[in-house]
Amino acid sequence: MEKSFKVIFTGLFFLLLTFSQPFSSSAQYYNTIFWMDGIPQSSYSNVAMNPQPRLYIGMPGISSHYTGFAHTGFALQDFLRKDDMDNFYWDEDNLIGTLKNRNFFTMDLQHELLAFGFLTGRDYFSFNATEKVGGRFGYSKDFMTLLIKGNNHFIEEAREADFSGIGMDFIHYREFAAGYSRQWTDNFSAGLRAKVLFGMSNVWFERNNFSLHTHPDSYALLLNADMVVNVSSPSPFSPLDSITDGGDFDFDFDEMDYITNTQNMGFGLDLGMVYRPNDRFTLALSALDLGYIDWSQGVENFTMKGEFEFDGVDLNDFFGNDDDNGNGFEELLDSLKNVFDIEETAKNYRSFLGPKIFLSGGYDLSPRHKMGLLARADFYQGEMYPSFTASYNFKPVHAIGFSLAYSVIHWNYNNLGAGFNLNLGPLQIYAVADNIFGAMRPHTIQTANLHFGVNWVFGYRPRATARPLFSW
Amino acid sequence: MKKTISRLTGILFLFLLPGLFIPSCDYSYLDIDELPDYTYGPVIALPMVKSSLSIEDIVPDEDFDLIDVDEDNFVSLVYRKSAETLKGGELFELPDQDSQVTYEVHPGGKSAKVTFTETLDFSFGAGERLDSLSMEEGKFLVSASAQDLVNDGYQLTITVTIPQSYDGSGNPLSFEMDLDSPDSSELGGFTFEFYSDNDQNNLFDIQYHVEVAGSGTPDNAPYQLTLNKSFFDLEFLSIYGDVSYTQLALGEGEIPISIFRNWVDGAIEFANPFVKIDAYNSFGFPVVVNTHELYGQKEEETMDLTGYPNPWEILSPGINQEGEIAITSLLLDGESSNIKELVALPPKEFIYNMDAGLNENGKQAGFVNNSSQVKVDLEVWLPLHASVESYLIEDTLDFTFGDTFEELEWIEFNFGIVNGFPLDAYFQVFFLDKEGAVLARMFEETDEKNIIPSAEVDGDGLVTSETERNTKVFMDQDKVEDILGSEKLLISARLRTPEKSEVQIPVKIFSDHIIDLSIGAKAKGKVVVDF
Repeated sequence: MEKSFKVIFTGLFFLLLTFSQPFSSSAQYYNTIFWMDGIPQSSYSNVAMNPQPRLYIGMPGISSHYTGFAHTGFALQDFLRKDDMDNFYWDEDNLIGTLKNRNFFTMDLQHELLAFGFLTGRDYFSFNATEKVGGRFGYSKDFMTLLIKGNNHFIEEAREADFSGIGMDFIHYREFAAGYSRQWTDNFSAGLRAKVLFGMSNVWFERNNFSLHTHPDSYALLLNADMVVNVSSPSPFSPLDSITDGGDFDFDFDEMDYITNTQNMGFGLDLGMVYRPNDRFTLALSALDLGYIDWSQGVENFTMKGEFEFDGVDLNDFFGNDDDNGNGFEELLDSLKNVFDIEETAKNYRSFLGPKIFLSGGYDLSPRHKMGLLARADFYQGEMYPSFTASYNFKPVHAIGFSLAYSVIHWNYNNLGAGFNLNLGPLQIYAVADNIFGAMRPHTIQTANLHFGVNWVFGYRPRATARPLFSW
Repeated sequence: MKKTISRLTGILFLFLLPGLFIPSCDYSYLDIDELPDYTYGPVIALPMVKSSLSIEDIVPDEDFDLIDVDEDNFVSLVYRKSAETLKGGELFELPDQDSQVTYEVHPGGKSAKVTFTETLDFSFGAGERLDSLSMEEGKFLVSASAQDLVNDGYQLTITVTIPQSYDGSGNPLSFEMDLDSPDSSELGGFTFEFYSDNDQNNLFDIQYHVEVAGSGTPDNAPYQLTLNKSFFDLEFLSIYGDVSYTQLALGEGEIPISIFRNWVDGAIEFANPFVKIDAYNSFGFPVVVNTHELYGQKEEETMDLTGYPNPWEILSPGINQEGEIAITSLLLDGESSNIKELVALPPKEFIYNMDAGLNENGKQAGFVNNSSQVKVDLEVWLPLHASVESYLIEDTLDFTFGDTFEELEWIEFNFGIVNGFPLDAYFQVFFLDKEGAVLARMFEETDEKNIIPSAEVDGDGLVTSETERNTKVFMDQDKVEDILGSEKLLISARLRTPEKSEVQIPVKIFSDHIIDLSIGAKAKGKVVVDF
């Protein structure tokens, strides 16, 4: 067993390295739901953790809906603070001090179209079709510093401003996944979920290294840029001219073509394993979203590479002529817009999904009470963003499940999650949130999400049981 | 036991849990009324102006043609104006000439030939004596009538010839005509020569060779043959002869000296200014230029320019030099005139008023072409070799901050100068509203600030090295509020050349002198978000 574990772990690690490429984003948080095995969708975090129901069919269109956002940078309380007298004040320095070198804000939406799964013998098969939309805006600490304090701050610190990591990623794709897991031994189960992906639209900042230097005497601006933005869009962007000329941006969009587009294909893989050394302890390890999409439809690439310097306008242009009444500052701003030289191409490209790793342990206090610990890692722009969850899971009866969880997400300590599932016969409704704390203390929010749905579940009661219907 | 403990733990946890939530609720951060105003105040530093200016860049566009650069790159400013007379064809007009003559014809009842010669006097109002007249265009119309001859059955053919004429092939003007059928000939291309007889000038002959055909019955000779002649639409190519004295207007005007346009105060002493006058004459007669006015003017103060002959007899092309232009030049420099003192006024314009006299003495043969003309070019040369003492100029420019800034807490301008010109410049900038009232000025601590120091020069006023300087100007919020409403800038600049022993050194300006100018601004914005 240990040897198998090591082999599989090594293989998993190798796969992670392979797929740990810069990627365009999607980052759903399945932390609180992780140990809620009464909900079939809990197995999405680890394909080897079979859900309790032996058979489930997701109610078409409403089996699973996830909406969430997360911000690694700061919460409102980091900017708007209270002094000793409980009076509010705005603290820009604390806001900046809270930021990491690279921060991001994400929004995710996942809507399951169809899902089902069933157990036969030692094997569990599952299938789901899901629409996934994710957006991420990344920014650097220096970028926020520039916005708040201006570029003079960097003159005083005698350094250039580093804007690497700034960018916006967006992805919309459709996932068709087929999962298989097997109880290989009494202690060990492992499985995988293979996915076929169809990309709908994408914006991906493949490379986004920027730095800005301001000359201490003349204030001349020197921008070093190495940026590549790839776009796959149902309508050509061509935004550059409209941005620089101030004209209208033309977006020609056909909904049916967009929805039925299958030209951008990709593949993904989820891997998972579960090890139970004894009746009470469970160890689980999984890696999700090891995959990519090849974008070929409506592709545009924008490249900006090199040094761009702006050191002012000509004296005669600044003091103008009769036409512009000598508005030198408008002349200045117009000149700034024209500094950047962006090359536009149309080359197909490959973007990778954002891999995630889940490592967890569970302890059964009793058949109805389980404590769980989860460590999760997300990777973005070469940095790892961890989160940790401690949960308490209680099933008074097999048809009802509760979970209460405390999470540290992106080093924000104010995340209290909760969830439930209620089986009314075969009809199950469930709802889970990783942070209900935000509803009570909105100034602490950096993460908020809601995951809910309706399933048809069968065979979630043990076949032979002497336990009473309800007990603590 | 274990089961009991675990169950008790769970019960306790579930009962305590709500207790954690309720006191933790805090919505005070969402109470907008309790929030303090947020003042957004980034400090932005931006470059505004970066220019590398030579003398050609500094001189306004409308004055660009004034710059003259010699082979050593030495720069002079040249102010030019031309005055010219009317052309010969506009000055001298040939009047239409009409006359009638009647001859008696005696055919004797048979065919006959007879030649009549008529001598005419060509009327030329401006000329005393014509020797020849070459025509560019014109018409000579002749009509003949002799009704009695026709009634008696005769036919007449008349050949009209001007024997003292010739065309390009040497053929005289000649044409044939019938009775009662007027005919004409184009005069263009013909030259007519005139002769004198006793006191009569401008004489020429017309011959009429009359051929009578038929045998008239009855014969009622003598018959009257009447000839009507008309010369009209006459335009000459050239006139040779002796024209009477003619006054030619050259005109009056002014030559703006733009370098002094914005002068307010101070002195500038040019080392070698001069005035060059070139006269161009294509009349084949003596011409004299009369100068009624030639002076420099600075507002109410004037100074006449001296040293030029008045009247000034200029060269003319000789009698055999038709089509050529004779040029006469005059140079008035510091030694031959008072130009140095005049330029030191300094004059904002030169005023002139001239005319010319053609063939003033008369009685001299010459020529006039239809394109003959007298033109006078006036050039005021200011070679940029000068000493400047406290020379103050001012200019007003349109300038507005527009909608770019609504609120600024302070602004700091940074002027970076690398000066290759041998001139110190002291500046003050006034921010004006649209009525011209002063809202604020840039340098508070002094009337003028030396933000442009002179390049280093040697004893001969030649630049040896550039000079660098950075000047920062800080404006607080009160001042910023004043200048944001400005719509004009009044820039006052006082120039001076470097000193040696408290005396300004005359310096030379070359086209490769450069001043590098960079202006940057650092400003703290102020946007208050009210809650």
